[in-house]
Amino acid sequence: MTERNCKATLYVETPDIMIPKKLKKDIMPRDPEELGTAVGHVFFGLTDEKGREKTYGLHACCALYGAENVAPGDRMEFFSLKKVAGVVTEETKEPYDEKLVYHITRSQYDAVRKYAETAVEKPPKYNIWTSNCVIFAYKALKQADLKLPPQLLPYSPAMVTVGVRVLERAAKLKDGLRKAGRKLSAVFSSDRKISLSALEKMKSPKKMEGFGVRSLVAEAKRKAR
Amino acid sequence: MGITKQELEAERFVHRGMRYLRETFPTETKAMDDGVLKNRLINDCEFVMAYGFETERDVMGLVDLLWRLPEDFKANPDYGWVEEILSDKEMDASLKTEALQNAYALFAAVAESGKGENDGTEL
Repeated sequence: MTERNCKATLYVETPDIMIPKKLKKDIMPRDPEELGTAVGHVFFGLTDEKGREKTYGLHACCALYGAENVAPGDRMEFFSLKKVAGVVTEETKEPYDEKLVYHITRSQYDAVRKYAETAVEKPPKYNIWTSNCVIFAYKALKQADLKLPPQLLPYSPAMVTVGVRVLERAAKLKDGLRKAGRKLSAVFSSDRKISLSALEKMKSPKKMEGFGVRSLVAEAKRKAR
Repeated sequence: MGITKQELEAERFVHRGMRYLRETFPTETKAMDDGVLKNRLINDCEFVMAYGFETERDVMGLVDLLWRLPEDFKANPDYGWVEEILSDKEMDASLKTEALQNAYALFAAVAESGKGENDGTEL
């Protein structure tokens, strides 16, 4: 089955500082107290042929808002190099600001789904530098050999944001070029070759030419040789 | 001495090329009179044809892309990828154009994204 009728979507809750000021009133609501609002969060969704989506995201248990039996101060533990308990959750209530949608086949869908469901059962440990939400999403989507936005270490929601925005702009620019290509094809022959000598003869004589000191010295040297 | 078929075709091509450039790049061509625009187009065609582009469509396709680049792109090391792709002997004209368009789209998108949007100051 090679039909691309499933989807994998990389969602980004953009770090607050990267959201354009004029758009802040229009973005999905979020809890200003939650850490993800400041540093961002990345998760992914898998959509089957019938349009049903399931989302997955990795969190540190101790950083989940309202985590039981963990004092707020202890949540900062996860900023260290220590790995802490992780949990993979459904992210239906998570806000997002950018997304990258991949149209994938059923076998790609199955590969990612298998990885994700295993992670739900046996969640990876969490570390903000080496095993964070971005790395988890990337590892999962790599199961389908998808090209993901490039990252600089440490993998971060900020870099994913930049990557998604660049890809969107590049796609728009490419659309513009395609449009220009269609216009060109309507006007110019794909078979007729142009004669270089005929073009050369057509050049208009210059009305005025400037020669700076560099050109004049070079010319004088050339004549002296 | 009469005009040859090749010269007539070249003349028609240049005329259509100038019209295309005026329509597609009105800001850039506004200050150019017909003589200046014609010479610029012919120079661009000569540049493009030196890399194996031959047909009207292929030549104008690349000229169109060149007009989207800064005028000093040949001397600007940031645009070294243009020369690199054009000089690739394993690519034909259409593959070179495709590769240049992809590179241009990505390059321009990266350049644009550095203009403030990513720190929230743009928009």
